[in-house]
Amino acid sequence: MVEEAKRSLKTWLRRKCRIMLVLPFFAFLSGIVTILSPCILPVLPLVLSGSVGGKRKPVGVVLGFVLSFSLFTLILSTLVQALQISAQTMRMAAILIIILFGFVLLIPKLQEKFELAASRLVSQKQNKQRNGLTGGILLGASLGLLWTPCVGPIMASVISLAISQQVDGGSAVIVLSYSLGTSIPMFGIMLGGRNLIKRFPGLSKNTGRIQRVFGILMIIVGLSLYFGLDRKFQTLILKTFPSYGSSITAIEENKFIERALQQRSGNRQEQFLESIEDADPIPPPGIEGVYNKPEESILKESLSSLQYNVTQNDGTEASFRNEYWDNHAEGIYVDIVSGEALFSSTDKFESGTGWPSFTRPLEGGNIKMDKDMGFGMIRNEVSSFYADSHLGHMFDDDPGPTGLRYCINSAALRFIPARELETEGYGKYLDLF
Amino acid sequence: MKLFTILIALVIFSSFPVFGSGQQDDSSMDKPMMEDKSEMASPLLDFINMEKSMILAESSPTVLFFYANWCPSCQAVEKDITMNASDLEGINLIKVDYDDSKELQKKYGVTSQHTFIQIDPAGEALAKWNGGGSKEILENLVKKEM
Repeated sequence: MVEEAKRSLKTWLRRKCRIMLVLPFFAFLSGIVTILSPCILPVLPLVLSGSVGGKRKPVGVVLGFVLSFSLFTLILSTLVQALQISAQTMRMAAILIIILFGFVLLIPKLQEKFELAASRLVSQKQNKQRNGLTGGILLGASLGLLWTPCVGPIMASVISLAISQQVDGGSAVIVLSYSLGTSIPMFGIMLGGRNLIKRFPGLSKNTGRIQRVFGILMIIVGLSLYFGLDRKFQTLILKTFPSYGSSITAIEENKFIERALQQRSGNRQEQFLESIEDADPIPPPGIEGVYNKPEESILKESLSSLQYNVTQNDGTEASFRNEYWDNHAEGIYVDIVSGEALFSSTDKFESGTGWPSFTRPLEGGNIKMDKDMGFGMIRNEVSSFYADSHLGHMFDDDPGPTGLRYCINSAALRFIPARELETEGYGKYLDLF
Repeated sequence: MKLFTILIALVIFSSFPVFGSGQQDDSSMDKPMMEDKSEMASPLLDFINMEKSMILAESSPTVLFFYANWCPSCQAVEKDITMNASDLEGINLIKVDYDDSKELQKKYGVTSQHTFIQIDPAGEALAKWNGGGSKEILENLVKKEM
């Protein structure tokens, strides 16, 4: 007993570890090497500009970058749809900030004013300390928005969740690891630049001039980003070295990651399925105790031939030409044979298949699942618990909250509108609507 | 301080063999690749407008592929899709220029290149995913058969 428990604990831990550690670890590695990616090359001079300015500017840049890149990766898609501003337009704003920074470096008077204002913004007392932290954070934050790396499968999986508005804790951990990885070479570049300036007396004497050079550099980079020259440059690189970009993301192409990613995407479905497997069938509201399936001969009479064929012979009705595929009314769907509650309009969605589709059953216990090997594919057959009516199939390809799609024949269902729930004896479902 | 210099040097150094071998690989692969291309036309359709795409979606699964010339993985995918065209038969793959599709990006919340959006006949998104090639298309596609 103990041995068995130990073993199951071990496999559970191993699985968790794989998901919790493998993906963030490789995301971190990818983050480090992404600095060499052709998609990033054009914005690298901006990082170098962190070499000049207050002592704590590099820390600020890294901090601003990690926060802004992580946040934007997770919520940019939601922002774009909510504000109806495209990501490119938002990036334009970041480019303008970069150009502004260029001018600040270029014109000493402007710089004095800016640093004063920036440090005042943080704390009234420290307004004489020009450590460059605030300016660095702003620069880093703009960089975070402009940082559009050519990502590998791990980050792609996070972006996929983000554009489907399904961000979870795991995605946040992965993005954070990735950006922390990137911040290492970023920090290194800035410190390296600083050291170089310090080491050569010719350079360190002319800090003012160096700052102006970096100012001009930032303006040039900003303008070239604005006019899309960076993309032209990348296209050229790609034409000259066709496999340069993809070889950088190649470190993510291994079996470990593939399996971990699969487990991660399968997780939501597994958790959900476990939760409904434990559910008990819901007995009818009346006094009889169980739902009854009428005799064969009565069924033949009371059901239409299509309804009979679907529920009793595992038939499938035509897509789009059925009663409920585009029914958007509020209410619940019950088994046409027995009346047991099956699905709710609150879980119904447009799947594009032309059949009523649900993300979950209303009562997990009223649903039975069986493997069905018809039509050259393995499908999960869905039937009702009490009457054993064939309802349809369940697919695990849905991008929705449970990751599942219950594709059900209208002919197996009877719709009870919300306002008739009470009179039909389904009053307990009233609070769904 | 030195540690960082070493780290940077290491990162740059370690990428060189990858970089070099990548190049070599490609030159040796160049010839058969070219022949393959001339034999098999890319199954990707060019985006004309949303109306045309929606009409396509009425008869079979239709996916918008937000593509950019400067995106290395997009080019790899185009090769992959061409090679595995037979697996993707019956699926309309429409290439949309990422740099020239602000309205569509706002509509579907697309934020980066190499993004796929499967649409229904009403133009609504059925599935969205980023990255991957033909295998991922088949995995993510919402299938029409029940």
